[in-house]
Amino acid sequence: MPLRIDRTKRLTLDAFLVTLALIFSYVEVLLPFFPGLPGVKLGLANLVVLIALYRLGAKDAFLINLVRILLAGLLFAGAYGLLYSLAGGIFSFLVMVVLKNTGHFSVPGVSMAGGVAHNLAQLAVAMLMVQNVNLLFYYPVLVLSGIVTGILIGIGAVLLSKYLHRLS
Amino acid sequence: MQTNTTIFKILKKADFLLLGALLLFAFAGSILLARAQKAPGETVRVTVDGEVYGEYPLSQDAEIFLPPTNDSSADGFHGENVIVIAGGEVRMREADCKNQVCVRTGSISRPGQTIVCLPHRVVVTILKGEEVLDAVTH
Repeated sequence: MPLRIDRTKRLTLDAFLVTLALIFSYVEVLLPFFPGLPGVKLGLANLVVLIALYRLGAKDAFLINLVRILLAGLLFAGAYGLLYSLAGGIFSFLVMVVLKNTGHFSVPGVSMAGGVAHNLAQLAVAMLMVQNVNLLFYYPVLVLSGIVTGILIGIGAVLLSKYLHRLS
Repeated sequence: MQTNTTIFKILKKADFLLLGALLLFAFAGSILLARAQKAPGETVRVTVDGEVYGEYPLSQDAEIFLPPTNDSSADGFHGENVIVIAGGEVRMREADCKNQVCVRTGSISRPGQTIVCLPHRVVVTILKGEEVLDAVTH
C-alpha cells in the first residue's frame, strides 16, 4: 500500500491507469488476438488491473477496473457486451483478490485464476441470457483459454512491474 | 536470462496445484462432452430469447431467415439472421450484429454444438433427438 500519497495524486494516477486500460481494451477491439474463437480474448486491460491490485491495493484496482469496463462497454460493445464484461470483470476481480490475500499464489497464478473466472462468469451470463444449457459444451475451451491468457498476462505484469519504479 | 529465472522462481506450489485442478476440470469435461457428441446430429433447433422458434431436420438443406423484429416489449429489437442447412451442416450465413461471432463460428454438425448470436439472443443447437445434456448427466 502506498504510504503518503495525497488524494490528488492518487486520483490522477487512477485516471491515468483507467485511460491506459481503456486503450488496451480498444487495441483488442481493433486487433483480436484469437479471432474465430468466440469469447476468447487476451485481456490486455487486466495487465493494468493486476499491476494496480499489487501496487495500489484492491480498492483502487477495483475502481480502475469498473470505470474501464463501463467506458469500454459504452464505447465499443453496447449494452449487452457491457453486461458480459461486468460479470466477467467483477467475478474475476473477486477471485483474484481472494487468492492474492491467501498469500499462497504468485502473480501469474492469481492472474490465471482470474482469467478462468472471467470466462466462466461470461459463459454463465450467456447461458442465462439465451436460456440454453448447451452452451456448457464450450466450457473446456474457455477454461483452457483462461489459463493460457491469464498466465501470459500475469508474466507480463511481473516483467512490466520491474520498470514501474515510481508507481505506488 | 535473469528475468526468465525470476519468473520461474516466483511460481509457487499452489500455482501448480491450481493449474493441475483447472486442467483436470477442462479435460474431464471435454472427454465427457466428446462422448456425448459422437453420434451424428439429427435435428437443428433454433431458439430466440430462449423460446423455440423452429426445428429442422439436419439432413434436408434449408435456409432459415429470421426477420428483424421491432416490438417494443421488454426484449426490444432483434436484428436479422440467416441460417443455412446444407450437406448435413449448419452455419450462420448472415447476421447484422456488430461482432459477427456467430458468422465466424462456422459450420456445426454434431449434437450439442451450438452457434450463438448473443446480441440477437438467437441460438442454433444440434439435437440428437433426445436431449443431449441428459445423456451427459445420466
